[in-house]
Amino acid sequence: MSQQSKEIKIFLAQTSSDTNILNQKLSTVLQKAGFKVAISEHLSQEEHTEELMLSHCSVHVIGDFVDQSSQAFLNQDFSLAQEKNSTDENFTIFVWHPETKSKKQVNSAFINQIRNKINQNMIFSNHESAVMFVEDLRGVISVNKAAEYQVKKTEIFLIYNSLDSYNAKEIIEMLQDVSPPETLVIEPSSRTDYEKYIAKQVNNSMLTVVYFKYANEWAIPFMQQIWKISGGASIPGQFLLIASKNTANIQNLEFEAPKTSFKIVDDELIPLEIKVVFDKISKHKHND
Amino acid sequence: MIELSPYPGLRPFTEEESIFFKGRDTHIRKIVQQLEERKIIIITGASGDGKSSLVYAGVIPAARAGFFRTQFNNWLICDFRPERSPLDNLALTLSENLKIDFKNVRDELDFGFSSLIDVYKKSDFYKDANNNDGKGANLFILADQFEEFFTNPENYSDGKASAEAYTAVNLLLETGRIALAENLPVYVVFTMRSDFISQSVVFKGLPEMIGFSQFFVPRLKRHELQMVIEDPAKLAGGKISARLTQVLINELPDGFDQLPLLQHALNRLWIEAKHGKEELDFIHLAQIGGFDRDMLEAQDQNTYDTFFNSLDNKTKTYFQNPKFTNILNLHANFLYDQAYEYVKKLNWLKEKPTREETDLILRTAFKSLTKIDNGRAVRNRVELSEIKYIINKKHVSTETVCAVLNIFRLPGSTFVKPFINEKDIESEILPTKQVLDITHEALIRNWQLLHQWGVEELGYLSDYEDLKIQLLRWIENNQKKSYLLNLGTLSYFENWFEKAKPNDFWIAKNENWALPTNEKRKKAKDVFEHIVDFLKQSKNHLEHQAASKRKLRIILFTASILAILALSGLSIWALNEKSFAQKQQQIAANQSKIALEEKEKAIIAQKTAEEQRILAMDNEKKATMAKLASDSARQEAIFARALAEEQKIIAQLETENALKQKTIAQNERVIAEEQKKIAETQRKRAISASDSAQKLSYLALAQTLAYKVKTKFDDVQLNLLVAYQAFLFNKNAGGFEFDPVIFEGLKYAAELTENESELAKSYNFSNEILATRIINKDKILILYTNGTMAELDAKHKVVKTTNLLEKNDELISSAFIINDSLLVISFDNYVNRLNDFKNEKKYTIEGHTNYIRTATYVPAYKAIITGGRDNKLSYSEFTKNKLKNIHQNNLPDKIKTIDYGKSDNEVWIGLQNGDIYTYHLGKNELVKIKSFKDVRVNTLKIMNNSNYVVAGLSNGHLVFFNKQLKTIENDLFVSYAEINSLSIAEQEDIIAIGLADNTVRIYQTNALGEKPIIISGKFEHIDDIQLSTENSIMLLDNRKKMMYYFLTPNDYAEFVKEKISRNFSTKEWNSIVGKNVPFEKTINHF
Repeated sequence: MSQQSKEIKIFLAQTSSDTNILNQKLSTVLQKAGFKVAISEHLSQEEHTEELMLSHCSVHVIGDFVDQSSQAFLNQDFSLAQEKNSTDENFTIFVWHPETKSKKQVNSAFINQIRNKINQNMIFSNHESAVMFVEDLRGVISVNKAAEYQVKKTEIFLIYNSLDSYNAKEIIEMLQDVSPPETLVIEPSSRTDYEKYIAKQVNNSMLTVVYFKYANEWAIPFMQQIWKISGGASIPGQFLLIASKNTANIQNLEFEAPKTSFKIVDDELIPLEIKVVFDKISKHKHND
Repeated sequence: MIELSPYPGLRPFTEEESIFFKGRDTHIRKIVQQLEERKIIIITGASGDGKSSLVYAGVIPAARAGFFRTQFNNWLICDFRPERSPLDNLALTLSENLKIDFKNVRDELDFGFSSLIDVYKKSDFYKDANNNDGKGANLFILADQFEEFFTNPENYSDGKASAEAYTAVNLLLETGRIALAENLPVYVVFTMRSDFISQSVVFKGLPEMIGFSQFFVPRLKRHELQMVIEDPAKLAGGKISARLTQVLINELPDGFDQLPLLQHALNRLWIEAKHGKEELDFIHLAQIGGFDRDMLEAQDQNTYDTFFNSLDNKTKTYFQNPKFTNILNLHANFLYDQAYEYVKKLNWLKEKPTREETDLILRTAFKSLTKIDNGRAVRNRVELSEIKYIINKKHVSTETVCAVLNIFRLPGSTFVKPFINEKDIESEILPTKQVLDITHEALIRNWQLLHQWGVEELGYLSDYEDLKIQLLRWIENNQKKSYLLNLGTLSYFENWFEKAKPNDFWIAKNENWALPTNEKRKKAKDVFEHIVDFLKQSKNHLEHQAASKRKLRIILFTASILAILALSGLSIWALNEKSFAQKQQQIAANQSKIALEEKEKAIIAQKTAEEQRILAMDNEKKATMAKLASDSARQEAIFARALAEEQKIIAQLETENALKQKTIAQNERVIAEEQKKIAETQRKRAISASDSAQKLSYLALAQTLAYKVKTKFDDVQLNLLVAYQAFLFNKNAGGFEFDPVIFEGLKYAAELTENESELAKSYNFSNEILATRIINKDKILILYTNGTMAELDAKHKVVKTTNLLEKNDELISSAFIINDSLLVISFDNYVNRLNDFKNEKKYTIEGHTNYIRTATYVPAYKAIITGGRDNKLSYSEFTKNKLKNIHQNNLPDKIKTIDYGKSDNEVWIGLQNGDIYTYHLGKNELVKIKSFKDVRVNTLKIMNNSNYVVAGLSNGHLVFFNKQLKTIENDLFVSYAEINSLSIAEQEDIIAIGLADNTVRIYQTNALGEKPIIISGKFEHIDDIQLSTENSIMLLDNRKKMMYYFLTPNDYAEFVKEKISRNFSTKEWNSIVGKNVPFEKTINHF
């Protein structure tokens, strides 16, 4: 059992009579997988809400034959979970409707109702077995969402390749008057895990600038990757890919993507161009 | 918002699409890390796992973007596929990237070993650490689809690699080794399907490299799948609902094709949602056939209904079974239907094909783009011109073929490569030599129509192989007439020829000859001409024989008529004689009165006798005429002559004894009646001869109809009718009861009704089954891998479970159920145990140092005989509640199978090295019966009633031994695939054979020369087969699924008959059965 699993608490919601045994089995499987389980049926009314609020996620088992009275119980726990889900983005609701080959009348209306309510941070699974379901659950919960790197909010984030260090220094100096930029140099032999850092920093920057002159073969692939890992069109800021007119083979290079502009200017005009773009963004921000 | 789809569909991601390649970030990082450290890596995984995408859209972009610790910023990506000339292809990519003349590179590479590194070092891109002017570049070599080293006969055939292939692999391995040793910025990557790993031993050093640096592409976890689905849409500025994501994840099939199907579905969803302008949701999934309309919310149901009502009737049928796995099938069917209309609109195509020609082109093209490899349909790259030649119609040019296929090459489809680039009009029209390829094998496995074509083609190929055997036999015997085909087989192969329409191109495509193209074609042409000649000569020979028979029939018929007349004359004469004899009697009685009267009477009698003699002579003449006509008529003539002779004697004796004459006259009447019967028989035989001809034509018609079922008529009822009518024709014409073509037609029609619960009963098990045995119709025993023994009733409900494991038991490695109470289990620590679960006793089996593979119980001796992987045969007896090991015998190789016949004194044993032994129980004596070279004896069964022992071999032969004489009585070639299992019915009238190509063949033991019934389907791996007592066969698939099938055409016929609700209309009968065939009501009570 991992230490991490031990710390995670799971709220196992009330279920209908046809899945009671399955629920009990699920509780055991969850514990075997290293989770702490708060079983709704064993809790008093006061403990009920409290335990749900203290849990990292809730699990709701739905069978094929949910009668009216059981629906009420299920809905009650489900509503509580949804309430918590709406305020805590790290709380996940798991709904498990194990697939059966039963040809008898299935409570499809109720199940459709649940399925149509699925939103972010809700998982609807129909695995046949409890072990498969818990495997999935563990995979979802243990995804490391937090990045390791400390980043700070910045207006301009400037990235360049080590081949362009000399020219970049001049640009950085000139940008000090506009807004002191956060900078990153990409070295081919460096051990730094750039991806995670860039992904976080881009989302904390108003304008991310990628500058190149001599590193022409590196720039476009790099731009593609950081656009992707940062979230593409969903980033809060903007990207600016800026190259010198004297870059080799510049006429054959192109890059188009949402929230990205690609500029080719004379060397001496690069800082000015960055400023122009930055000013536009700032203006939009103030007008919003 | 960008218009292009962030989901590529069925094809792999390209490097340009890497921005949308999500879900594999951790895997990319692991591969990059491994490459940084080891310089070389092989990326393996199942087909459809995304190996190529992982490299092209994951690793390479990461490298170019600088997320790869190495010497230079710049990268040279030298990627190639081995195809048919791996060394040329490697040289070409190196030449293009390093900017060195191709010939120079190619010549250098021929030396192998460090040549590739030497070429790199000589280029302008190699710089050492002290001299980096910014032009230096890292070298990334990618050998994609490495399995082509094994699948192309130019690279690998008869278990050996070609010199060129060997050199190519040597270069790649050495490059990795040198790069690591000298810390060069050179990286070597292979992608290969994991099912080819075992073949890597062909190349020295390759297994070691796999052990050194391999990445096995794992299955995506749930959160990774979520990224695959949701992130590309977000990156492209679109949205996808969370509930849709969940449903897609839940509906994904396990196993192959998971990712290609998902990407295809996502691509379709994106397009359906107006290229991401709408949020992708359930309604779009329903509109592409992947979600049930009734599960939509109310307002979406209205939207769906509007959409559905706008479709034509044919397209509506594709939505009958909405589910995730139907999406690709629906899309492909839609394109197939639309192809004709699409082609009609093409301006650049001068001569438009007809609808029938369009269908033919598509069918032939897709069949050409697939081939059979180890019994499975896989992709086959083929030139456009080859397809045209296989079609072999004058006005179908390569342009026409290209135009028809284009609908499958469009950006929204991309089922066939190369794809059409909307920005490049020229990509619409392909050159004659253009090589085409199916984008992914997922299309073959999931497009039902293509699958059917594949099955049909497999059938044609199987028949072609059979015909080749006959042809070869004829040629080897100097083309003797006795080796020509008989009527039945000729009809069969003529039918095949008509259906398959083979030509030399078709043959060349399907043969695995490792020859240059022009030689291959020449050889194929040769074979084709031989086939045509063989069929023609067989036909001529039969016609000649038929002509002779017709003459004979005419003669017979004439003789019959004459004989009838003669006999009628004789009968009349005989009757006349009787009455005359009676009169004579009266005359004779009066003779005593007057001497004169007597004398006169005597004179009269003499005269009469003379007349009778003349009459008899007359009859003799008539009888002689009949004799001349035929043997039987001759018999009659002789008889008539004898009769006449007899009459003569009677007439002479008449005066002496009137009573005697009366008696004789009576005898004559009886004889005359006999003659009449003979003449009648002759007449019937003549009729029967013409009946036979008619029967043969009905048999041929039955075969044709059974084949027609597979063309699949729109109306399910029509399919059922055609199949059942074929069955009736065959039955009424006295055809072979177990005819496989009739069986296949009935089975196919039955499965169209989709009543799976009545047809192929199928039971899934969540736990893996280690061993199973059908005891009787009410009892089935199953041993799971976890050591639980379950007893199931007839309905497969668990009646009883028993845990057979003890506390400290190791894992079970193998098990064998001997009968309804005895079971042998072998554990990982080589402990072997006998469980008597009826009496709840356990015994340790001594005498083995490895797993027990097979066992049998001998009641007469109260003994267990076990055969193990340690080559030992162990004999143990039950004495005083213990199992005592009495004898052990060492055999030359591992024991694969043993069987014991009831009331015998010996056990038969089959070994891995092809030996067959008998073991005499009383004498503890082993005798070698036969040694088969280069084969394994996989399974043995003793037929107690028929006195045979049947052995199933790894070369696909089924050998029958005479149990007493120990000689081979029959050697039946079943298939090129290995025989894995055998099951013989209790009555010993049926033998079922499980083969390594995942098919089961069923023979009637008294008709082994006939073609067998073949059961095939989407099986993963047939582990066991058993004939159940209810005239069905059980297949154990992948150790988790038990499936039952009907065994005989009769069973399917009964089922199909129940489903038929009407008869043929006259129009249908005339069109399908034939105008010249008298109309019949297939089902009498309609």
